[in-house]
Amino acid sequence: MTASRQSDPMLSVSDLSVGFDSYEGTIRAVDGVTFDVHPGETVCIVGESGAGKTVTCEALAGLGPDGSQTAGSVRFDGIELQSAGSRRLQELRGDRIAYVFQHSQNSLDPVYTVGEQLMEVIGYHQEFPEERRRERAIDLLDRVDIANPAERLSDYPHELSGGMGQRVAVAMALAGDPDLLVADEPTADLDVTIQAQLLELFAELQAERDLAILYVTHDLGIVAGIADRVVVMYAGTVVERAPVAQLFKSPAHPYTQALLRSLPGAGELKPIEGRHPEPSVYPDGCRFHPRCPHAVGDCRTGESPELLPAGVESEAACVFYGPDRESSVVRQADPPVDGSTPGEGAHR
Amino acid sequence: MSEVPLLSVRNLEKHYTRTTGVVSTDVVGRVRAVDGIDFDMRRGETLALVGETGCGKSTTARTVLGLEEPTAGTVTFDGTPLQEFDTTDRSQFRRRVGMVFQDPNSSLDPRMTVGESVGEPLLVHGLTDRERRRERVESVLGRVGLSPQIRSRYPAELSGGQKQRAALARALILQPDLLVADEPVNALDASVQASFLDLLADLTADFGLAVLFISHDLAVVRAVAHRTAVMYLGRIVERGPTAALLDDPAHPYTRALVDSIPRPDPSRPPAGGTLEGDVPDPADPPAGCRFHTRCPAVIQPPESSLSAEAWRSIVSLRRDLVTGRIDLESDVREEYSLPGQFDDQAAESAIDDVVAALEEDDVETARQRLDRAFDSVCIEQEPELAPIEDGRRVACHLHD
Amino acid sequence: MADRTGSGSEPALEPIDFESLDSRRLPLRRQTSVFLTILGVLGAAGIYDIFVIPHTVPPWGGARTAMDYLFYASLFVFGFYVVAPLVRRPGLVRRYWWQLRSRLLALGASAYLVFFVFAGTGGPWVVDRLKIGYIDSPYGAPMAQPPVFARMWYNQGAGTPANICLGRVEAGFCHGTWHFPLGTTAWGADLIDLVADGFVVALQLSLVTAALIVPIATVVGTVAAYYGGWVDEILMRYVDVQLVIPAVFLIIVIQSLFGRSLLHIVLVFGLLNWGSTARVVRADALQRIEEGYVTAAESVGASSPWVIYRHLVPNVSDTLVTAVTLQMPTLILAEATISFLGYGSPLTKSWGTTIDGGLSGFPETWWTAVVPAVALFLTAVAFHVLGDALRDIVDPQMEGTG
Repeated sequence: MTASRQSDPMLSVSDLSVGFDSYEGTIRAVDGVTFDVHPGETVCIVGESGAGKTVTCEALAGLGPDGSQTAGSVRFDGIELQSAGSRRLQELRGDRIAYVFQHSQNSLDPVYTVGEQLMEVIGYHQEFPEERRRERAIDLLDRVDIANPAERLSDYPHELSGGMGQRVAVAMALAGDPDLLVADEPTADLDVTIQAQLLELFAELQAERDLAILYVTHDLGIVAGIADRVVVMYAGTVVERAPVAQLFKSPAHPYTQALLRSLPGAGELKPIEGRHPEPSVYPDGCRFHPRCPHAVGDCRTGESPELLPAGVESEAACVFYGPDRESSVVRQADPPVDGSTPGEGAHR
Repeated sequence: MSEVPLLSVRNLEKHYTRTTGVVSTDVVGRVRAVDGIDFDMRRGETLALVGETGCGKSTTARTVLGLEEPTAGTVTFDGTPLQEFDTTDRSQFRRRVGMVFQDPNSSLDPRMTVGESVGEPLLVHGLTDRERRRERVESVLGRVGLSPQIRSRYPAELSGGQKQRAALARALILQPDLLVADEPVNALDASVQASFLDLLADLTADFGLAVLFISHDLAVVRAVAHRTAVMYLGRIVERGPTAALLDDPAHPYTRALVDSIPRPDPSRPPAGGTLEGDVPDPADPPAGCRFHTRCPAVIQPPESSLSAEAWRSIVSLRRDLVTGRIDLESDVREEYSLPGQFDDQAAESAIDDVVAALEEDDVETARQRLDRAFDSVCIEQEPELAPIEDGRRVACHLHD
Repeated sequence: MADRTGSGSEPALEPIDFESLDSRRLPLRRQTSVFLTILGVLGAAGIYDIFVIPHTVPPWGGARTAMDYLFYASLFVFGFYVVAPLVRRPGLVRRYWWQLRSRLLALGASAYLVFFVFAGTGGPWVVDRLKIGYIDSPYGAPMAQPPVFARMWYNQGAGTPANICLGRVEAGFCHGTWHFPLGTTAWGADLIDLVADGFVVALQLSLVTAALIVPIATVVGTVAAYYGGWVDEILMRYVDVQLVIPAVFLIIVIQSLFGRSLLHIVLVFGLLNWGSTARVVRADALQRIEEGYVTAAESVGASSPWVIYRHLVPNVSDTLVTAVTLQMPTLILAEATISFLGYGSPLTKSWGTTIDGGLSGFPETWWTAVVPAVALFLTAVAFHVLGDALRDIVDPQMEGTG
């Protein structure tokens, strides 16, 4: 979990926008998203469903759905991905950028055995002769803590439990020895004890390979456990960027504050009023304004606010951090969560 | 709170048999989804059933609702066992129990308007008068915080949170006494979860409901449940008042669950105490205490005098022998950090034999030899649910 | 939070005396009652006309066959369950339109099929009214006239008075005219009439067969899926057997034994060809059964017929429509084959019959075979393309949210 901030970012996303055509009109699922990931660090994208996290991830390496238009820049290790040809992208995928998705079913083909798939992926990226590929497959399965790896090679994906399936997906992602791992809610459907195992695995892998990880989740507990820096998304935009400790101790954006306050462990349950807007009917101005207790006139019109500095290495997209406003109006002094055992302090 | 429990479950078992083919009745496996559980529920109280995949909590819910026939044991509702219901009783029972499920996207028929879905229970029970149905539907929709206009919308037009509220409205429209909620907030975003749980608490109080709340999320459970029962592989391993249970878990599995949950506090170390391996196959639960294959606290036999680390290594070795995880290629002593020399002579010879057997690739003999030498009570005997302090019950030999 | 006490100001809902209500009767939707009533009236009229007073003209006039009544009934079903919902819910139409807009081929196919429905219902009547191919001559329409865009050998003077060329004659070729735009056959029938007749046959065939397949497949599929066990076994084994029956061969046998009639063809297709659709419906129903709303209905105490009727049937309708649409090309081509082999009904000129006739004069009067073949091809392809597009639209596609 160590971050090497001094070096140049490995991944640099700049003003990324993704739009779809639907019969309701053009929908901008992602609008002007900007963030960096440095080598060896873990950046978590946090947001609720509909915030645009998955679309952002898919758009990074050109995996966006058909019919989508992407704008903006995605630089990976100096290469501009948005203008790279599909061949180039294919080379990069798996080899330098690897993906792990939410369900292992999305990564594993049900008609081939684990071994066949794993060895196929190994074959894409490295010049291995046949015999060595099998060895390497076993190594990879072993590295993701799968018992009896040699026997697992002949299993079919449906014979694996959820946790095992995800481990195989991680093994496949590692086959090309990537520099960046993009994980989209990989533990969402798994039991909590299995999830804990997988999170531990990610931490180990990062430490031993200096892997950069971009981890998408809605679970703030996971974020607290693995992130170095956090990107908070709401309605297709980035509303806050901060180092993890800063985010939890002193969240800058009203949405982040409300989110932290609404967790079950945070004393009285304080739900956020209203609900997450649909992409086709985003409000004008700041997209959070209908639900924000501090909203003023400026918040309701025009474009959604820019990210402005809001503390040590953090930015928040809120007008109150502008030069002619008093940020203490929105900044909270007390931590919203006391961070003890889940739910401690909740009224019963 | 009344004296007689509203719901009483005793020795409930639900097994599913795996048969081969259609005509033959050869039983090739028995999935013991629920394997002997007891609990009571009183009016006005919320009991949480907690556990992970394969623990049997959803099967329990379905059996309590009468959607499945128990293989053994009794479910008694308001004094009468379900098995003794005649058609009228059964019909009445259905009116007195409501259910809410996990997936808001499939809990409402996409082809029916929200009003039709919410009003369906009324129709099933004979209220054909359109006006009266409409009134009642609007009334209950208001109670769950949805506008009455929503009744002419289709589920696709609603958000996840709204759909769950509509599902709750449907569950409550007949004014049940018992509500079974199977992971109702699991699929909802954090902020929406909070408002849903808030609503549930209000309605529970207003309607005087008993709520059977199934979840794997301990933070949610702490917020809503008076009492909690932790299930593992079809059995209840710990049961008692929620706060006591979560603050100081008595059973190692409960402790592991509590420890595994990622806490939203970066200054604390990340979730530790991870359990090894996957949940065993419910068709073939481990002998003795079902949790012993993953338990970090398996008890040493009294005559054994190994150090704590050595004992843990032995447990590790045994587990791998049982699950077939053992790597026959490796050096067993090194792999499991077994000391070169044991103080205990019996232990020493046992390990020698085990290593020898493994060199012959004879896993079975190795396991038996190990068991003979280190017969832990956790492997021999299944613990019973017994009372400890705080009004709790635990099934663990550590508390014998 | 679990200790919250009742707020008191919001009492629970007022109690309903359920004991006094008669429950469990499966209530029909109002719409369904209306439908069944009208269908019943049509059916009664048909039975009366055909079986009660077979040789007399009924009070409402006209000489109609069983096929005609079936056709009217099918048109009514189609109008009620396909056209009317679209008319009532313009939002749905807009959505389908948007989906089709991007699939040009499907759009073309749909347009053609709309034309097909109109041609099959009123085609001959329109042709008649517009006096296309009307000729004022004691000998009827001249034989073997080529279509307007073609020409054929012509040997002037060598033939009967009927053997004339309506168009100009040039260098031994008789050219076609606009009078008979698609030409005439060697025996003097206007090809436009024949093609129009073919449309009628094709439409009757597809609509009536569909109207028979849909209810049978739906009932069998949903019942098999929901009840499972031996019910499922028996039904599916029957379907397996039924799928083996060669429909074309059976029809040929029947046509030989019981006389040639379109009715026989339609009945065999409709009553013995629903198997594959039933399987598709069953597969879809099996998935729906796992959904929450089915369990919810069960937990409230809904009976099996209730769940099937109110929840399964409406939700499998998408897959059902797609499956039936995709069966149409096969049926149309099968009927064409049967007619081509000479076992079609001589009264109703299907395209297959016309093609059969046209091949005897091939290749001189090639248009007699080719024109109906083109119509056949277009119709089969249109159904197929539409069916494929429906399958794409109906299968939910994961769009990126979150």
